[in-house]
Amino acid sequence: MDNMFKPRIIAFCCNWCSYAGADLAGVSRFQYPPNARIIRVMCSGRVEPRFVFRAFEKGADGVIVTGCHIGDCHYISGNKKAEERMKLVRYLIGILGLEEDRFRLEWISASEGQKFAHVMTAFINKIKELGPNPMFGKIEEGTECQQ
Amino acid sequence: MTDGYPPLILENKAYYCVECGKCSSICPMNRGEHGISPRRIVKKILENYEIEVIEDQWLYSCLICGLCDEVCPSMISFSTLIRELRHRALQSGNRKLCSKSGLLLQVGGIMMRPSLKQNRLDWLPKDTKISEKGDIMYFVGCLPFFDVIFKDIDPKTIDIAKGTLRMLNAAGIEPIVSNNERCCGHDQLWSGDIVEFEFLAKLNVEHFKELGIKKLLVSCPECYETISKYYPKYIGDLDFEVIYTMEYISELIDEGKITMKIDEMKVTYHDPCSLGRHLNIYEPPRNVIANIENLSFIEMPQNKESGPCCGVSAWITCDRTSKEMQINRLKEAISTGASKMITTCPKCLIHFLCSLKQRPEEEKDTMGIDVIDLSTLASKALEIPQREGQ
Ligand code: SF4
Ligand code: SF4
Ligand code: SF4
Ligand code: FES
Repeated sequence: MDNMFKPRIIAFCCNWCSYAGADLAGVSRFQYPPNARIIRVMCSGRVEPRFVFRAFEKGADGVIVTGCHIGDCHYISGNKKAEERMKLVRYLIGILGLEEDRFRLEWISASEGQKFAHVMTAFINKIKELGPNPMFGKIEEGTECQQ
Repeated sequence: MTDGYPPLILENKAYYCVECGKCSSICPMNRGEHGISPRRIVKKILENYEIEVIEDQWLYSCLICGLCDEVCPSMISFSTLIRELRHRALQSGNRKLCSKSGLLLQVGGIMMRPSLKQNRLDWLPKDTKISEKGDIMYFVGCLPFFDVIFKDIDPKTIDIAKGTLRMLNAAGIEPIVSNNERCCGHDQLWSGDIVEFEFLAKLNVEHFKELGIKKLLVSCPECYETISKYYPKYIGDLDFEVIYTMEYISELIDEGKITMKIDEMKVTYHDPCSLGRHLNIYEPPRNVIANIENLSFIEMPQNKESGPCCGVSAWITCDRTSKEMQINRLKEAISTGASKMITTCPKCLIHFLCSLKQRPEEEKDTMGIDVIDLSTLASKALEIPQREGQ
């Protein structure tokens, strides 16, 4: 059964660094498992806590947010904001009863294709260990507030 | 005469509307930029323009404050009407604009997954005692989540739960505090998501049944209103008693089981809508305040039935008008000469503190007032006799 488990990962990548990093991993043909669906955002600071939970609610087994290294954010301090917000996310994940390791925040620059592949592989392996999202099985997708 | 009206109108007896316009003139949101008008809504519903109403973003501006219900000569419950209309609006795809882009409603939604095991009890202080089994349970509500989500405002809402527990302990009561309670569903209900509300309600009631409790103590006015009034309405009668903590503590004080004393200060009290106009509970909190030695209590000009709303409801109505309402209310509190404005609702606390925090530097001196929850304050007053008793 465990071998059958194909984790679904949502990766939020900032347009200027990490998304380019993912691109570089691609063009340099660094191998990493194909489980991640990348969502490009203009800055890691754009990722609201709600986005992360929405991904989990929709069935993601893990969520990773990536951005430029601190000091390199193209909007000056977006990634610092992201860092603050993601602390909140990690805490909420904990009290709500999801494992904290299902969520990760990483800084990956445009030149770090190798790092991108490494981080993804490690994260996906971690999620494989944790197994499927514990939220699932019982109830259909929520009808919560949408904008 | 009433034949042919849809059930929505029949239930509210909205056909009794005499178009006096009292509702629209008292409505605080009517003064705001949207100029919302309950009378217009009632009229539109009566004349069969329901579609127009449920497709309007306006629908989400009403604060459910109940001021209009209070003044209506025909006793029409406008807030009930709004709840039903929002339910229809949600089905028709009219979306609300949520504070924190909906994180708070979402957290409630996540608690609907019975397979998730929450870890919501880290806040329990070591010096408090709780039981695993028993007749009495204390329902904490979403307090453990608020402090995290509103870290920037730092409302310390969890102190309400700590304070309540300390007071109960002081009177020798050790209630159950459960790791498995869920969001009461108040915000889901009032933002129109009745399906989600009922789901949460059933999960909670099942859990209470498993525990076999006879009394449920609730400190949050909204949770209290929801469980005591709307659970029976939507999912059937409850086989336990729901008690508001301030009423309970008020009794404990009268029995002489709790005594409280604090440094001298002047305070005033803000009635939360859900406790006041919705449930007519005005005296128990005032009674508790009166029994804290050294507090001098001054009533604000607008109080009880006419007390204004804190400006936000169910995390969907925050806008400039809300901010104005908060500032006006805070100024009113300051004008009484009080140094603290007491409230009993964690959400009122958050919204008022949010407004205070946003004030520009130069206004900081004139806006010198502290907003505090009654349980938090009362439990601080409790400390002295507790120490003596040890
Ligand atoms: S409940 Fe309050 S906000 Fe809503 S229409 Fe009535 S007076 Fe206005
Ligand atoms: S106060 Fe009552 S009777 Fe008067 S307009 Fe409003 S709903 Fe109609
Ligand atoms: S008043 Fe402040 S805390 Fe309350 S909903 Fe508005 S922004 Fe959020
Ligand atoms: S632009 Fe990359 S983190 Fe802000």
